[in-house]
Parts: sequence; C-alpha cells; structure tokens
Amino acid sequence: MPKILLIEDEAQHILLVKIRLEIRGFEVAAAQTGADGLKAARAVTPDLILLDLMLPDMEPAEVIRGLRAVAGCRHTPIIAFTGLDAFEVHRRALNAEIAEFIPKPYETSELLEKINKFFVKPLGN
Amino acid sequence: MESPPDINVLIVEDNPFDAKIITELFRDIKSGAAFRLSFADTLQKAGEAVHGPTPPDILLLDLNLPDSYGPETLGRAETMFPDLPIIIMTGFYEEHLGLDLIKKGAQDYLVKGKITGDWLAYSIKYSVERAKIERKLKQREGRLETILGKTPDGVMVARRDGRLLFVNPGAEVILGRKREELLKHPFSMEADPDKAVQTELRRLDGKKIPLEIRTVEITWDAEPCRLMILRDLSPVRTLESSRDEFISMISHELRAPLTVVKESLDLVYDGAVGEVTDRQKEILKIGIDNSMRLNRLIDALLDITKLEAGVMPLDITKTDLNLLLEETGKDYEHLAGERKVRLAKELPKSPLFTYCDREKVREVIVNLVSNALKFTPDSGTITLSLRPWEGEALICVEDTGPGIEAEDLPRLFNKFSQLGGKRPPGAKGTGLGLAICKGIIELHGGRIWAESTPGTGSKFYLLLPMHPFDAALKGVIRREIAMAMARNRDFCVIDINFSGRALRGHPRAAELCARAEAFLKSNMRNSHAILKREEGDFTLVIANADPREGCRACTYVEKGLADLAGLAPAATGDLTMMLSYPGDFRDEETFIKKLAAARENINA
Repeated sequence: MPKILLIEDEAQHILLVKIRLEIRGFEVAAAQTGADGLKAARAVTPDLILLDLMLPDMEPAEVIRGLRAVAGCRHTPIIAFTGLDAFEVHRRALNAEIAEFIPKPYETSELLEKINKFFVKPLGN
Repeated sequence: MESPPDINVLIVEDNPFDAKIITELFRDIKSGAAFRLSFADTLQKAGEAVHGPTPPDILLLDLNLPDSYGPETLGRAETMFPDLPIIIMTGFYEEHLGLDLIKKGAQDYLVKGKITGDWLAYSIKYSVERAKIERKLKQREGRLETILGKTPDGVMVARRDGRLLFVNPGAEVILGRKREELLKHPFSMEADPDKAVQTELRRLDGKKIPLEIRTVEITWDAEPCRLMILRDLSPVRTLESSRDEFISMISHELRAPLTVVKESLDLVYDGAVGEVTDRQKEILKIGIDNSMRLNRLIDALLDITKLEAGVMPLDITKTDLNLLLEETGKDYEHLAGERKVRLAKELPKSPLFTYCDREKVREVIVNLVSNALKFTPDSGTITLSLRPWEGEALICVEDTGPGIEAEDLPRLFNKFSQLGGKRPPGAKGTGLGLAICKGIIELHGGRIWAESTPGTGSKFYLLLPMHPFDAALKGVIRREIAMAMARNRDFCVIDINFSGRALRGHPRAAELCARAEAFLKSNMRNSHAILKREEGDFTLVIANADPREGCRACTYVEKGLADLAGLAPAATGDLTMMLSYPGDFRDEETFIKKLAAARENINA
C-alpha cells in the first residue's frame, strides 16, 4: 500500500484529506508540526510527502532540509500546499526540492490528480 | 464732517517746569484734534493711570524719572504698556540717543525746548496711527505664528547652503530635535522643487519616519531660500498596511475554514463515508451550494478590496472587443432562450482592438448581461452593442426590464446598494457586482454608467479607451508608482523578448510562445501585472522587489524559457531586461523613454 505523509497544522483538514486518500487505498500518516513531521518521516518512510509550507514551528526550508536528511526520504517527492507562486518559492530558495505546488485553498479533486501522477498505476476509486 | 476723537495723552515727567512748558505747547496748537492731557511723575504712577478710567492713547515719556533713570526707562515702559505708542522727550544733552531709541521701539523722540506745538501735534497723531497699524500687523503675524505653531506639519526655511533660518514646532516634533539645535547645523534632505518626495527619515533616536517633503523656492529676507513642508506619513502607512493585511487575512482566514466546510459536506454527499439517501443528498446540496455562494462572496469582497487598495493584479493582452461581446452573447444564448428572452447583437463588422485585462472586462460584460437577464421579463429583449466613439469603444447592454428610478441611478455602483426591493425573487447577488464592474473599468481608464426609463428598460454603458500597448503599460506603471510611493516600496519591471532573437525562424515558434505564456502565468502568478505585447513578448511588474530581486526574477524567467525551448543558456542572455523603481525611474514618462531606449539597444 503506498504511504503518504501529510504535514499540515490544521487537524480537521488532516482528517478530511485522510478520509479521501484512505478510500483510494493510500496509507496516510499525519503530523501537525514540522518537528513531528520529521519524526513521522523517520518512522514510516513515505512514498510521497504532502507539505504545508506554513507550519507553526519551522520554516519551510528547514523542514525540507530535515526531510532530505532522513535516510529513506532523500528523493521522496514533495507536494507543497502554499499561497505562494513558483517564483516566490524560488525567491525563498525552496523550489529545487518541491515536485508540485497546490495553491491554497484547493479542491480535493486537484489534489488527487496531482498525487496520482506519482504513482504509475492510477488508483481507482 | 465728523471730528476725529480726542486723543488722551499721558505725560510722564517729574520736572514740574518741563511739564508746564509742554502744557503750554499744547495750548499753542491751533487746529486738529483736541488733546486731553494727564500727568504722572513716576513710571509707577503712569502704570496706575493706564489702568484708570481714561486710559491714554499715547505716552510722552521723560527718560529720567525718580523710579527709573536713563535709556532703560523706555524698555521698562514698553514692558509695562506693550500696546501704547511712546514718544520720548529728551534734553539737549541726550539728543545723540535719538536713533537708538527709535530702533528700540519709541515712535519718536522730541528734544525739549526745540519743538513747536504743531510739530508736537503731528508727531502725536502720526505716532498713534502708526501704532495702530503696527498693532494690526502684529496681530496678523500672531495669527500666522499660531497656525505655524499648531500645525502638525513641519515647516522650515533653508538657505541654499542648507542653513536653516526658520523651524516651526511641527518640524521639531517630526525631526525629534530642538529648534536651537536645528538652526545650528546645516540641513540636507532629499527634495525636488517640483514634486512631493516621499522618503524615510532615520532620526537620532533611531526611529524611522516615513515623510513627505514638499519644497518651494522662496525669497526670505531678500535671500533665495527653500521652503520645506514635512508631513509625517506614519498614520497613512499604518492605514495602508492594515488594509493590505486585511486583504491577506480574508483570503486565508475566511477561506480556509470554508474549504473545510465544503470538503466535509462533499465527503458525505459523495457517499465516501457511508450510504446517503436522496433526501439527505438534497439537504447536503443546499449546504454545498451555500458554501460556494459564500466563497463567491469572499471572492467579490477580496476583489473590491484589491480594487480600492490599487493592488488588483492585471493580466493585459491585446483584445478584440467585438469578439469578446460575440462570445459573451453566445454563452448566454441558451439561458436567454430558456426564458424566451431575445438576445440581439449590434456589433461592427471589423474587430476593435485594445490592450486590456480581457478576463476582467469579460467579467464586467458577463455581470451586466446576467443582471439584464435577471431583470428582463420573459419574451423581453436584451441588446448588446459596440461601436467606436471618439477614439474609444462604447459598449452598451440594454434590457427591456422594469428600469431603474432616477434617484437610484447615482448609487447603483456603490457597494451593497440595495435598490428599493426591486430584486426579482431567487436572484440573490453579492451586492458587489456593479461596484466591482466600476472598479475594473476605471482601472482601465474607462467609464461606466447607466441610463434608464422606468417601465421601459435600462441601458448600461461602458466607455473603454482603445489603448495601444505602450499606453496600457503606462497606465499600469502609473498605478504601480502611486502604490509604491504610498507604501514606500520598490518594484521592478521585467521586459521579456522571447519571440524576437530567441525564436526567429524557429519551426515551433508559435507552440513555444504559447508554452512561455503558460510558464509565466503559472510560475509568476504573484506578479502584480503581466502584459502580453505580442506572442512570446511580455512585460511583468513585480511588486516589493528591489533590483536584486528583479535580477533574480530575470534569471529565473530566462532559465525557465531556455529550458522549455531547449536553448543553450548563452542564447537567452538578452531575453529579459529590467527597470526598477525608484532607481531607474520615478515617473511613467521616464519609464517609457528608458524602456524604448533599452529595447532599441537590444535590437541594435
């Protein structure tokens, strides 16, 4: 079962995304802070990371650096939720490590579409 | 003829012999006003007389009195009687003091024994009159001083070499330094005699103050000087930044929970968490529809706030207004047909081009047509028309609805203006549609208005300038400068020339241009304005970016375009160029000139 790590500070949002993804056959681990996210990354070795760039405890660059330092996460694709555009993210030197951007707020369908891109066989409903 | 009023003269003289001579002089005066004399032999008694029942109009003062001796007597008397004219009576031996006494404020000086009665009469009359004029002048000066003293604005006068000659209390407060200190040192400040300059002042106490400085050349005491007026912009800035914060607050804080609400309802509605009956679905749908409506309302609120703050992003491209109306008409044909409303079009045969934000102008027309449809009864008619009008494009959306009362017309375009319950049932808008339309059209330098005959129908007019590219760009730059000035920020303009050098003769030029556009629109989404000059050629306005950030943006764009076209990085060197505010230009005319020169350079 493909594993997704969701790092996002709003608990209710986590719950909703989790339900959607679990229906589609993903295993979802979630964390509400950058620090917990790094711990979870070490524990589950995800196949994909969904990362909110506005976390309460850590700067996005810091979280990404931390994730890349985890043995199994060196090349794990990261999808970022953000209100910034790609150039803004580039300005903050984040873009190199981010595979996809999802502008906030987003529709679930958009999120699922972007997630499916990373799995050779699209997962059915 | 009315005779002039009596003049009360107080003679302050301790020598009875001299007093008698003076009294006799008055007796000699043949004509003119009557003089009423009173006497005091000390300064102190003079003081009592002044506050007595017949206060004097003038003082004849001997300098040598029992309680005051010598030239200082004048100073004392002036302090005691600030508003009274004083004539000094001197002896022969004191004649040399005369000029000095006048300088110190005496109206005149008379040498005892040398004067005649007529001379004395003239001197008194002139002195009284002169004192009246002086008093008036002093009053006026006092008024000006009060104004200059109480105004929160700083007012200063500086000589060419920077030495300050005048500083008001407002300037002391703004600059955080005492007047005496300021007057001691030369003062230099960035200023332009023609314009208000906005700058930031770093005070000695470390506080940074946004300032507006206006300068005027003046002559001060026969010397060419500069009058400087300083205005503390801190309160304005606070207001502007709290408005900007409000914009980002509503876009995030309101939308995030709404996204959660809608997603929760969607999850249940989709059956993702269990079976749902049709009846339950129907109810959930109401919730979903209303969360979407709330989202639209937030969008509208955000739009109107951005328009009012001057930060609405623009995506300007060459647009055929004729085609735009044709398309909008088509989009509504079906809906109109359902209501048996006829949708007529009166459009010119040839295209009418202008550079504008096509999607925003479309939004305006869609808004007007959908309003018209809302209010037009079944089997009515809506007419969409376009024609050139004195170099501009005049668009009209006409309906055969109930019309609008004359008194409602002026507030039609206000926010949340509810027009006296004339809304048809079920048609709930945001109350912001027309206000947004007005904002968008004015952003394009155009005008929007409505005419109506109640009972017959309404006409909504749009007058849009038909801009060539540079005129549209100039408008965008003007707006950006105003905003950057108000917030004391930088911005950069990046000119991208992808079609020319890079793609000349390229077999896939058209496709690459389209991909370049898609690249810019997604990756440079936060640009304040994206203007498309030609296929592949763009001008971007990047707000809050200093020249270094601008250069970074250039490199980013060049790399992105090189990647998508498979060009060697060397071939993309002059793909972009950048001008930054306020370093390269401070007004839109200079910007356009510099841009033209730079473009010529690249093409040479």
